[in-house]
Amino acid sequence: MAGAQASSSSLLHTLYSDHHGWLVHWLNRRVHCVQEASDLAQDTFVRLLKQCPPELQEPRAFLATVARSVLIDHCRRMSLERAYLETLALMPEPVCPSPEERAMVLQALEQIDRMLDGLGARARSAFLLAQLDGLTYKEVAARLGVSLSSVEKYMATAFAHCYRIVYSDAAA
Amino acid sequence: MSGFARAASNEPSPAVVQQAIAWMVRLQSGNASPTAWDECRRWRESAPEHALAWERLQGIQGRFAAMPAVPAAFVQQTMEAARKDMGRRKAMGLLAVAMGTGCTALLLRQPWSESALLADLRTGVGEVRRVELVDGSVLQMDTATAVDLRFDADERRLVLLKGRIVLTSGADAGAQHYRPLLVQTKHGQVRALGTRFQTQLQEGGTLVQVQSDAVELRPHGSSEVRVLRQGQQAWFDSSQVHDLQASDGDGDAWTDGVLVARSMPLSVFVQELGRYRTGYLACDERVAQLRISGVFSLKDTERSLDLLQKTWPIELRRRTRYWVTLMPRG
Repeated sequence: MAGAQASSSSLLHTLYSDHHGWLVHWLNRRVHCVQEASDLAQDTFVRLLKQCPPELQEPRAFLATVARSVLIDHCRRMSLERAYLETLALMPEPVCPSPEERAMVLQALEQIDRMLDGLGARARSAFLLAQLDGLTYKEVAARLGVSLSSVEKYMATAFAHCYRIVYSDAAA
Repeated sequence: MSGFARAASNEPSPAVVQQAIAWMVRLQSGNASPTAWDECRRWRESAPEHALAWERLQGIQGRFAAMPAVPAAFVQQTMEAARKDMGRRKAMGLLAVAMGTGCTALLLRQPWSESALLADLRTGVGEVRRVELVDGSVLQMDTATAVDLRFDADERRLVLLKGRIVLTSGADAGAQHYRPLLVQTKHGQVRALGTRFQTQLQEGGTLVQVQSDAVELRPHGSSEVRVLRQGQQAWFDSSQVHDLQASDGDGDAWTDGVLVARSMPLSVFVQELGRYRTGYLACDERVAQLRISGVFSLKDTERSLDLLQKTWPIELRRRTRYWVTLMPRG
C-alpha cells in the first residue's frame, strides 16, 4: 500500500515537471488568459492528487481529459456566480449579503447544482421544496399541483440520482 | 474515471439502494403506518449493506440541511439562469472547445491511425470504463478502445478509433437546440434516435447492435440510409449495410464485466476472452468446436480460465504467464 502511494506520488511529480508547461499552454489556448490558465492547471493537479491512476500510458491525453472536466466545472461555476448575482438583483426587496454569505451560498449552489445536474425539472422542484423549504410531501403535491404518489416518485428519483452522483465512485 | 477504485465488501447493491430509497420515501410521505418505523429499523439492522445505504441517504439529506438557508425558489431561479448562461457559453464556442475538439489531436494525427495514442479517451487491455459525458450521455468503453469526442454547438460526435463502445444517449439538457448524437467510424456513421446501442470497430467493417429504440446507419461511400430497431444488428463497411440475425441480447454483457456464453464454440470464446488479456491465448483445434455455456468474469480472466478447466474436458497449457493454450484433457 505504501509502495503504491509512493509510486503514484512520484508519478504526479513526473507529470508535473514534464507536462505542467504544456498544460498551461493547452489551457491558455482555450481560455485566452495566462493567469486563468495557470490557476486551472493548478486545479487540475489538485484534482489528480485525489484520484491519480496507478500508471499512465499517455500522460498528455490523460491530463487533457482531467483538465477538460476542470474547465467545464470552472465554466459552470462562473455561470452560477453570474446567475446568483442576477437573481439577487431581481429580488423584490434589495438584498445585500456580505461577501462571506455570498461565498457560502455560492458554495451551496454549486453543491446542489452538481448533485441535481441531469435530474428532471419536476423531480428537482419537488426535492428542493422538501429539502430546502422543509415542505411535507402533501404540501409539495399541493404546490406543484400533482398527486401525492407523483411526489413520492419524484422523491425516489431524486434520491437515486443524488446517490449515484455522490457514491458512484464507490459503487463503480 | 474511478474504475480502479475497488468497492468495499459491504457496498450496497443497486437493489439495496432502491429498497433504502423506498423506505425513506415511505416514511417521509406521511402515509406510513406506526409499525413501518419498526419494520424499517429491522430492515436496516438485518444487513450491513442496508445500514450503509440508509446512512448514505441520511447523509445526502444532511448536506441539504447543512446549507445556508436559501429558499428553493431562489435556488431554482438561479440554476435556470445558470443553465442559460452555460448555453450562451456553448454557443460562443468556449465549451465546445473545452469539451473536446482538441486542436492537438486534429493537427498532429491522421484521424484513423491504428495507435490512436492521442485519443481523448482510451482504455487499456482488460480495462472497461464508464464515462459520463457532458450532455448526460453515458459512454461505456470496452477493452483496448479509443474514442475522440467532438462536441460543438451543432452536434455531439464521437469518433470510434478502435475497439467497442455502448452509448446511452443523454438528454443534452444544457443545449439551446437539438444536437444529433453521432458515432463515426472509418466505415460510416451511426446516428442515435434516442437510444442505447453498441458499436464495434472490426477488421473491414463496423458492427452495430441496438439495445433500445433505434439508430440510423450511413456508410461513408454510399447514399444508403438504414434504420435499425431494438434487438436488431447489422454490419457495414464503407459501401453497404449487411443485415444480421437479431442479437441474443448478451452482446453488451461486457459492460457488467462478464462474458455470457450460450453454446459458444470454444474458439470464439477464446477469441473474446483473449481481448481482455495481454499475451497469447488460443485453443487446440481438437477442442475448438466444444460448446461452452456460462457466465465468465472479464475482470479476472485467470479465474475464468480455471473455471473452464474445472467444468469442461480441457486443460490449460502454460508456456509462460502470457502464453496459454487450451488442450483436450488427458
